[in-house]
Amino acid sequence: MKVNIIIIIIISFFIASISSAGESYRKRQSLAEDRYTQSDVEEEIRFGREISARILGRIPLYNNKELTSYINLLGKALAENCSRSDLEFYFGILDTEEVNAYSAPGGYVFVTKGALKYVNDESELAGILAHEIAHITERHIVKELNIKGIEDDPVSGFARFIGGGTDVAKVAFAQAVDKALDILFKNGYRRENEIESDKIAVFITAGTNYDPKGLLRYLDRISALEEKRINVGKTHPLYEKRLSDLENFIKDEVGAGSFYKNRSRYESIIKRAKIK
Amino acid sequence: MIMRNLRLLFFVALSIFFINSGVIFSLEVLYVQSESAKIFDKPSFDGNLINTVTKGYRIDVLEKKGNWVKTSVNGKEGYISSFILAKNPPSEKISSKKEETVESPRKRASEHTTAVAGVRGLTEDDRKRLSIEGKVNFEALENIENIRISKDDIRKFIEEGEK
Repeated sequence: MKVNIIIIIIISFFIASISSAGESYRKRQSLAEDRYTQSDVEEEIRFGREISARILGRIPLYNNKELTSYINLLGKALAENCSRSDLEFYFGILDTEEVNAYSAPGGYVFVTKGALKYVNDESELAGILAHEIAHITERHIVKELNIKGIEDDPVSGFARFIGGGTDVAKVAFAQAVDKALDILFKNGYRRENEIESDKIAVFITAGTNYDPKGLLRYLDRISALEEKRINVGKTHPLYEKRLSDLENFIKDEVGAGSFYKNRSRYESIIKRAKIK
Repeated sequence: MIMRNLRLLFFVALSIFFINSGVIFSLEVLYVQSESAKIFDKPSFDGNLINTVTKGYRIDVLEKKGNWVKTSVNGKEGYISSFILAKNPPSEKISSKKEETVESPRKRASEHTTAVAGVRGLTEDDRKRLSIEGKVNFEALENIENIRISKDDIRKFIEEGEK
């Protein structure tokens, strides 16, 4: 009898271990999807620096110490409420009348002087910066171009082509940077990436006590600009649907809360910088 | 007797299956990725703030509602944004300061001989050439990277804005 019970328990463990192994495999697969090593993040930063230096090669920085310090204080305050605490975020103002904002992997965010002219308060600027931060936190360019560190997967993806300092490697790297710049300056992000960044942005702004409707007000103003056929850049999806989706999202998931707009501080800094 | 043994076999196997699959005993666990995170008494920023947790805090998921996760902190149930949670504990900050903008000849030489080299980017010569052509501007980039802002500066900035 005792022997029978022992045999039954052993068989039971065997059967259960099959299901357990399957579960364990699925778990590993699922975790692998969103697991990034230090090597991956280092490559992401290196890649983002090259893209940022290219952006600054095209459009110069707007050199105003107070305004640059202000935008970095605001941006870093927002970054404390985003999911990428492994990154240091940097913010710059581009000296162009074009109305747009850009971000590069690894924590680099740029907003144009032209965009600042159409911002009415600090919560609106917070919305723009948070939207760009979200493109970085969700690794939209990194995933699109399969940027990875070499340690994880030495024989596949981006690393296979650019590992080492050969001419082939340099060409592959330059091509990847070009593709990223095409996303930023020509083709734009995927529509679903923009929608996702909008949603995350309002959570980041609300989490930092800024009015999440600031992004909505700014986008609404910019859509009016687009109707007048003024160059607002080509990186954003159809505004009407985007605005109504975002408005509903704020109503359903963010709420009214007690948020700040900080209009007077923004106006005085912009006035001193002679932007408007 | 055989039926009795089969019943026992079925019961033991089923129990082990549920234990392993986490259906009975295990909750989904997520970790806070942001520097800090607010927990409200309802899934909205409208709710009353019931707690604030910091980076790395373990969140036992009781329920998911839209982009909010219901959890329990110090015996109190509340909701936290799912956008700042992930399956793995967060990493330490990785700074671009470790990256060399202009790489040393020694480092460049090692790139050609090391099999496990990653994305090395452009060499110093490439960058000089591109800089002359006005295609890259690392100097401007470093001006932004060299701006020093402390956590205390950020706290003061937020407080002053809210006055």
